[in-house]
Amino acid sequence: MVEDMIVAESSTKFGNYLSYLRYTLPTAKQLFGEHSFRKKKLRLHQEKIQQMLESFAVNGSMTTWEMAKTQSGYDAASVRALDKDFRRLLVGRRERGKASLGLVDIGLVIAEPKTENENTINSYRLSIHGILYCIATLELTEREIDIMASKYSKVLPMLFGKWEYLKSIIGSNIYNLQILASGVALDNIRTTSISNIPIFELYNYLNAKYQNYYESISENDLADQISLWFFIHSLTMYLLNDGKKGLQTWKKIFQNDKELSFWFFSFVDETITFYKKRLDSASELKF
Amino acid sequence: MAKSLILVVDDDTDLAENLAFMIKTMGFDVVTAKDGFDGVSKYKNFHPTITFMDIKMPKLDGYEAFFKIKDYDEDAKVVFISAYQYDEKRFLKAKSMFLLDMLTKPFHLKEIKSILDKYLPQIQN
Repeated sequence: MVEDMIVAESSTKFGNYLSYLRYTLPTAKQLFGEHSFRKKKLRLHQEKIQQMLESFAVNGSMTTWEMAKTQSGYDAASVRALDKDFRRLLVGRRERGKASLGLVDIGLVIAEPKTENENTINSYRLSIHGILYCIATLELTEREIDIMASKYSKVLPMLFGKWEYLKSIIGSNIYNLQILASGVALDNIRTTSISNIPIFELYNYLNAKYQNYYESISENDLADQISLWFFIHSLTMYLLNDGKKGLQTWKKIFQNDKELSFWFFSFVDETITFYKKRLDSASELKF
Repeated sequence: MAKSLILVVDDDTDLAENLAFMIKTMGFDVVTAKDGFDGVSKYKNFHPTITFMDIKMPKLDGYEAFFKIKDYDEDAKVVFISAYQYDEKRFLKAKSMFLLDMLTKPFHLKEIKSILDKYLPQIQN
């Protein structure tokens, strides 16, 4: 259930967006495939992993038993075998002295302990890194992304939690989330030539704000970082395509949602304060 | 219909990233390469519909990468993106081998859109 999803605290196995770009995405692509198994044949292990991730994407949080039942019906022996297989894929294994990392170790999936009838079992779901890897690699349809947004609305409240509202304003541009997920960050110096609107400065402050969380970041902080990145990407796209007119279109996102507006423009205010403070201390350079 | 794949070859990785963003928002798939060798390798691996190729690059420049790609696939569609022609003899040779177009730096990212709008329908037909 979406409501039962525990938002992971720090000492997580995933870091900030830069960590996703430099560690998680290349590692996941190397281990689990650079493209969808539907596009080109992969090793059996990679195909199993991708199918598992797809299942988490469209079903949300599940125990391995629940996942095994969806795949093999009610044949108890098959369900037990699949359950064991899934647990191994999630937590990794040691074979002939060599350890192989599972989805939880890489940071694509989060384990959520639950107590039922005095027994503690683990339910699993995608982490934000896992969500991004799925969108980048598995060639999910728009419908599947919509379903994932509804299942993970509590994990990314300012993006997935506002999904249908955002779609009503920006339409299919919402699926440009795939660009962010595939690693096109745009936090580079060339962005300064796109517009006088300080998008370069917004990206850079977004990096600076979360720079100490490369190894591990709380899920709430990562949700904020990724969601902010998405909205700045949208701004960049509208500016590139339509200049000042595009800016007016983009602003409509915030017109009818006070919570979104407060959240985003608080970040803009933080950015302004950050740069003002730094530039004020430039006077210390002078005699 | 499968999305067209565009290859961007440029050692200016910031520019390549921004081009990739622009092209992806237009609904195409993009692969980037950071030098001529990487570009030729990715061409052979991905068979893009159109390749945007910088000329001045380390390891293997855009002209040599173009000739290698054309040796591999004589129908390859390549657009040079560069601040200057750099070598008139090799430029004329590239033109004789059906170089698709030339985009002079600095350019507005919208000019990429114009190139794709102009040539993709022809290629797909």
